[in-house]
Amino acid sequence: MAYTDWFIPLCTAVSGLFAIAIALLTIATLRFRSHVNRKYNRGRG
Amino acid sequence: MADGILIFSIISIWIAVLEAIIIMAGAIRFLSKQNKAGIVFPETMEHYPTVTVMVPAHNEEVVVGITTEHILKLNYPAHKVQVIVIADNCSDGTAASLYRLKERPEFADRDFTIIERTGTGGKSGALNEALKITKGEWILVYDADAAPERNALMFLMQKALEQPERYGAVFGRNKARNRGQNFLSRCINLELVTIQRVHHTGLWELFKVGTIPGTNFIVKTDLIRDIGGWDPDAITEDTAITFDILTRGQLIALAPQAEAYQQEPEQLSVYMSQRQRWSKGNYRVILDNIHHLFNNSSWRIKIQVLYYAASYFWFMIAIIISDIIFVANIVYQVIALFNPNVLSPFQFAGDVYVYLVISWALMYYIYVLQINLALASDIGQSNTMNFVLACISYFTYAQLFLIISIKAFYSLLVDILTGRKSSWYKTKRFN
Repeated sequence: MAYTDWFIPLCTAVSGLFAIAIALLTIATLRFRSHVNRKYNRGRG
Repeated sequence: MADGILIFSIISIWIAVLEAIIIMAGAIRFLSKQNKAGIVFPETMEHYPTVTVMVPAHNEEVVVGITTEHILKLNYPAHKVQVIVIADNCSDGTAASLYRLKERPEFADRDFTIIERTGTGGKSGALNEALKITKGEWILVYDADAAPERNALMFLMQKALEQPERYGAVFGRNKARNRGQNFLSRCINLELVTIQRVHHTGLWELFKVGTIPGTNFIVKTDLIRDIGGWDPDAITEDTAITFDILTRGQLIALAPQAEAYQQEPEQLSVYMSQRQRWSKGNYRVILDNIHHLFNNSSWRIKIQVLYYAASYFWFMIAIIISDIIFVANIVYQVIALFNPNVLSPFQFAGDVYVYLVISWALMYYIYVLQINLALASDIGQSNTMNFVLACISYFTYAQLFLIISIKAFYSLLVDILTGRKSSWYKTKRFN
């Protein structure tokens, strides 16, 4: 059995999980940035 | 063989990405809580303990006066503060500028000592000299270029008093006061905010693990005396003392509001020398503490050792290998345009190479995301210019880390093999 038979499915699973985690972190970062901006009234006259 | 190298690279990058995801999740939780809680000032500081502030200064006439003035004006009961500035082997006007400051009427009643020293041991030697005459229950250390904000000491002590039995030391944040000077200082600023606002907060939030920085921290005087003072042979005395504190079962707490402004290198040569010393010192500390992974030391020490070892050894090797694979494949693809018979030595089975590219892309994305989270938490820093800089710094500034690490590791190897003593490099200051 070639190592690719198990390694490629593993790569797909790990990459998929990381992509989901990073997408959630991106949303959390943008929400945090928006809270901070609102709190300090940044970007408004 | 090539496939084995590829698998090693991919798995190493996964672990680096996983570490970044975990730390970032902790940082977001910490920063969100901090943003909601706001700042609390104590009603009185009369019950706060006494503090000795130490400032080691070696040929620092450009910056030491302003730093000491900031220290003398800290928002803390003046009768509880002893200030000791050590003019260490100075050949410039460091001591003279300090005496001029001491003579000012506003500081006439202050407990302010200037030590002119000619001994050995560098920064550690200077701090140990001050330790002999220390009267405070806690010690606060500032580098000569690190001007603290007015409430820095108050915030550090406020944190320490939350759990005085458990916290052996408390550290704050350092900001680059010359961050807009040039491309290098802007990149250093990004690195500084990311380490302090993502890595430090994430590690503290999730594991209650902290690291002593070289400046802007307090430590119990009794604890430092128990440790035996600062190690004059340590190249990075701050990392060495971190492990000494953790092995005694005490925690190093984070006080994020305690801020100080420090000067960062503006020239590449100065930066390289400073970072090479830090890297070399950290290699030495890792080698000295790697045994904690295999004995019954606390899990916090194991995390600290793993964090340093992974950053300086494992991930570095993985990044070098993956860089070589990337560059070699690009070069061979260009050559193949002219001569299709030439094949890259890195030929992989199936689509495995694609997953190396995907892993690398995830790592790059989270690198930029971490910087942007850090910038979002620092008022005035989350702007388009810093975002663009974050995107390009990976390919420029961050790659310097590889050169620095290789040079530092080689220098350490030579030290070990030849018995050479490491010389202490003092960072050059600018007007």
